[in-house]
Amino acid sequence: MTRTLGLALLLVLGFGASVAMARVLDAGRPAAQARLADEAPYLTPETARRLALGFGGLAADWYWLSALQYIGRKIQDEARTKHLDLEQAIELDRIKAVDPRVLVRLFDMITTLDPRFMAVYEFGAVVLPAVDVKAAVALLERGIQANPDQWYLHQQLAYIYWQRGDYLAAADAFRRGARMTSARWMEHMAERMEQKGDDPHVAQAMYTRMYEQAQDEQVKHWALNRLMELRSLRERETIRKVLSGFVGAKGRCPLAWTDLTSALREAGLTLHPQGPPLDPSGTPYVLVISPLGCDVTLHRVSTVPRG
Amino acid sequence: MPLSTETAPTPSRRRRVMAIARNTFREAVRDRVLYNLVLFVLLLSVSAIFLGAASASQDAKIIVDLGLSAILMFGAFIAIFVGVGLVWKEIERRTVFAIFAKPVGRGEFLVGKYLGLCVTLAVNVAVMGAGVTLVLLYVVRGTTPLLVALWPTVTLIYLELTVLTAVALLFSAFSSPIFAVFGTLAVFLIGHFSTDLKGLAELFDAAAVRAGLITLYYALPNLSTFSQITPAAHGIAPTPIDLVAALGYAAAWNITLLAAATMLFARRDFK
Repeated sequence: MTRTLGLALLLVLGFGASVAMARVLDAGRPAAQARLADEAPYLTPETARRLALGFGGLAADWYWLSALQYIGRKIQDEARTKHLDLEQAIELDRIKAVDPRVLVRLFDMITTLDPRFMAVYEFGAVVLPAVDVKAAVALLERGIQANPDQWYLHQQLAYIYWQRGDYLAAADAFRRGARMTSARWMEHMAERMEQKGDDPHVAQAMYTRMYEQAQDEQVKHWALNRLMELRSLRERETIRKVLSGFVGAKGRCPLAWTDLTSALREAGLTLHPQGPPLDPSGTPYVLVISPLGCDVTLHRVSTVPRG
Repeated sequence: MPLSTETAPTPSRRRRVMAIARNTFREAVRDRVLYNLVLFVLLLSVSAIFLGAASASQDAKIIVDLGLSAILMFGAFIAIFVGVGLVWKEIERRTVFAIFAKPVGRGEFLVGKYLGLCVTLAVNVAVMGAGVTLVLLYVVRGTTPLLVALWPTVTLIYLELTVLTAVALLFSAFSSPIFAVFGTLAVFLIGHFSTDLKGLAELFDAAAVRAGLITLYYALPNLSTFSQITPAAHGIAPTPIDLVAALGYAAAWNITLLAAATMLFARRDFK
């Protein structure tokens, strides 16, 4: 009995000591770990494909989770440095802090291991152009080659071209996709791209389609944010017109939103019961009055992207 | 009146093989081989809980990848380690003498052992397949095309495991357990690379090297034939033709390997 108790005590003490030592050792490690986390995979994608045996899909999932963690860490860092809420910091198409070599290598790795992993192309089309447009185009072209039945990828490619202002290339991508589907809207988008690619209505149509077609929830959320941003830009334009009408009539800025209630309602804006117009996230707009004049801006807690 | 000694009628070959198979299955259950199912269930349950938040809506795909890969991995471990022990344990315990004192042929002994382990693997794979199905239903909260692809792929994995069991039995028929484990593991690894062997052969100009690589390609089972896990995770099921072809391929290899094992085992001296 005494012997058993002694052994149990030794076991507890030994385990406790090992945990304590691990903590001491870990204290000196964070810097090294952070450095490692930003390193691209060591293996080439083709070697990884060979070594994966029958587990290519599982290996692709592993790298997918690594890519998400990598991007997530960058978003957290950005939120910390800019003192933003995490929700406000998640702007997938504007993450500049990611290392393109790491991200491109991770996406290459995943799509080599599992060429049908659509979420990667979808995600890559949104995240990569901020840091490496060429790599984003190459990723999508490779995806189209590996998945010739997925017309949706042509829309993603068109988005990349449209975003960098290459409307003819975007129109071409839409046309290539239109040949694969009976949906007329792709052909229609191609025509609009050629006529006036920088039109806000084209942007609205683009993000609406991205939202409707997205399979990935984060991409869906991002497209919804962009649609909110567009709507808010239109609303702020309308509010500025109402403000300018008030200043023209009264020769001064309004003292509060309540001075504009009827004009704002007539302009079709949604109003808070206490007067201020609401932005697409349901947060009241802020009336800014300064010696230079009056203007409207987003509330600091609003989740509408600031552009 | 002369005394007559009546002997019990000798059971048919099929009965003898089935009796050995039944005992092999019972022994596997007694040896707690099926305990790996507990680990499998834990792995899947924990994954299902955590993947939802971490995978950006790819949880169903990852569950299928993880579940099917785990079925293959756990099954391969059982096929290799239990398969190698099937013959060796009987020799080590000297029970092989008692068995062969009865009217049991060495070939029947091997086929019985093989079928017994195949039944063990079938139970294992079926329970794991059911586990993946349930977790998938829980994750998607409804139906999904992934379910259609799941069971045909599980069938292919099972076929691969039957080939691997036959390989393990072949090695254990003539060699030591350690050599048999390494040999079977090597066939498992090279079997998944073997398509590359064929591709590699085309890169060589020397006819002898090319012929050598092509021979190696055909001399080893191409296990990538049974590997359809990645497409299954996208809801792409193997076609009935693929399944029949894989069944034929597995049957051809199993017959070949068991015949070779029987030939080698027939010459083995147990002293």
